[in-house]
Order: sequence, then structure tokens, then C-alpha cells
Amino acid sequence: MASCLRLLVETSLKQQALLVSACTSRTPLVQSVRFRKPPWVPVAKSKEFYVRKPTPVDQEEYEELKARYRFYRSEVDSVRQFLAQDLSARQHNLEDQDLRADEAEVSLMMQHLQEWNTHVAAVRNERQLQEQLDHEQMLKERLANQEKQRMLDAERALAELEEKEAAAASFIDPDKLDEAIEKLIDSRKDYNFAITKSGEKLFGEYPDRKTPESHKQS
Amino acid sequence: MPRVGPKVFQIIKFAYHGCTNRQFFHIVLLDNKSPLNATPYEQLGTFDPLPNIYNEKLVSLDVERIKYHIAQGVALSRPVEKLLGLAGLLPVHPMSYITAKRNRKKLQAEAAAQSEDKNSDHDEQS
Repeated sequence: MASCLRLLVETSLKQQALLVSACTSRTPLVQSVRFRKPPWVPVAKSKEFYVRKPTPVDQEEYEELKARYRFYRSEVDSVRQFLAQDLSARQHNLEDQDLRADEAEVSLMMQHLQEWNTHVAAVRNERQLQEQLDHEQMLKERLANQEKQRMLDAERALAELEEKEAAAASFIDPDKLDEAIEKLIDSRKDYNFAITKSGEKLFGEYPDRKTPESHKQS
Repeated sequence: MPRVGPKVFQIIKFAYHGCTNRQFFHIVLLDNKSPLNATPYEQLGTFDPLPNIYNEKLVSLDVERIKYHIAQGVALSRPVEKLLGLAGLLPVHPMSYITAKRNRKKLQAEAAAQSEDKNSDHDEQS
């Protein structure tokens, strides 16, 4: 049977590449698990009817092992339980310690906060008082400035008024209009002069003597 | 019927980190189904089974964490149980006793053989 299989394999080894390509394709392949040898290689001739001999067990050792294992398992269980209890107790303690530490920290923080708040309040009150004083001072100064400005404005206005009033003396009233027009018409102006660079007026050789007023005016 | 999958639990075991003819183990916390080269949940120690020039097999253990994990109920592989038994963290493993007994027997047998040899030599000389 085995030799037949070997023959088959020898012939089929040539088609190995083909088979491999079939394996790598998506066709479903059912094969037994066999790591070192390919699945189609038969059992070695020397191992054809090989049956593994069971490992010899020393009966005395076996009994001892069994007895010891019973104790061992229970001891390991108890160690496990002890460690678990120890762990939970330690965690409990740690939690308590944490809680206490937290409370102490919080109280310390609150104390610090209180101190800071009082200090900040004192500084703030002082600052606000100073600000209020400054503001009042500023208002006073502003009022004084306004008052000063008002006085100046009034003075200026008064001076302007006086100036205007002085100027108004030479104004022509409507009832004196005709008279003024007559006067202007009668008046004459002599422009027959030259002006030097320095602005001096040089009247001609024969100035108009008929209107002496005009000379006076110029 | 709901399908019941394989039972997966955490276990402390050796992970092979050596190469050919040079064993070196990490003691790691892993799932029982995960491969030994998987990234462990935690590395808990190392074990170098080859004796060094001072005839020492070097072991390092993170005892606190191992205790913690034992308390949490993770499983221990047999080699780790043996190692922890020798380290004094757990009771000595039964197999260690058996091995010691075998070694003792072997030594006794060797001694007996030597003494017999000596006796036979002495007889021949006489």
C-alpha cells in the first residue's frame, strides 16, 4: 500500500508546481496538519507500524506526586487567598490614607485661600478708595478748568463786543446814507503817482491841486 | 443554541526570547491562547536557564506585581510554578521534589557503582 503511494508521489512530484499553484488559488483545500513533510508524502518505511511506547511511570513516584499535588494545590489556593486579602486590606488602607491626605490638603488649601482673599480685599479696598479720591480730584480740576475757560471766553467776548462797538461808531446809518453818498461822490482820489520799491509814493510834476482833500486822504 | 468559545484566561508563563541552543525566557502575563511571541500584557521577570561562569542561573522577578496577579487569580504555567516554588513565593512544586529524589537516587547509584568498582579492583589486586 505504502509503496504504491510512493510511486504515485514520484509521478506527482513533477506536478508539484501545479499543485502548489492550486493551493495558493482560492480553491478550498482540506488537508491534515503535517508541518515538516508535505501532506502527500507517505509515512517513512521505518515508521510504518511504529507505535509509541508509553512513558514508563514509577508507581511509587506517581503516588507521591498525587499526594503532594493535593497538598500543593490547597496550599497555593490558600496563598492566593492570603495575597488577595492582603491586597484588599492594603488598598483599603491606601484609600483611607488618600482620603485623609485629601482632607488635610483641602483644609490647607481653604486656609490659604482665606488668607489670599483677605489680603486681596485689603489691597482692593485701598485701591478703590484711592481711585475714588482721584476721580473726585479730577472732577474738581475739570470744573475749575471749565470755570476758567468760561471766564476767558466771557472776557474775549467782551473785548470783541467793545471792538465792534468802537467800529460801529463809523457805521453809516440809513438816515445818513444820502449824505454819505454825496460825500463820497464829492471826494476825489488822485492815483497819479508812482511807487518806489520801498513803497514811497511819488506824485507827478503837476499834481491835481483842485481837490486838496484827496491829497490829505492819501 | 449559543456557541461556547474556547475558555480564554490570563496566565503567567515563559516566553522564549533566546535563539538556537541559547534559551532565554521572559516571564510574561499573556492570554492562554495567545502565541508566545505576542506582546505581553506585562513582563514580570526574566529567566536565564543556562548557568553562567559562576554556575548561576539568573532569575529576575517583579515580586510585587506577581503577587498582585496571583491575588487577582491568574493562572500559572507549570515551569513558572516550579520557579516560584524555588524562589519561595509559593510552596515547592511536587515535581521539584520528584526531580530532587531522582537526582538523589542517581547520585547514590553512582556512588554505589564507584564503591563497587573500588571493591572489585581491590579484590583483583589482592
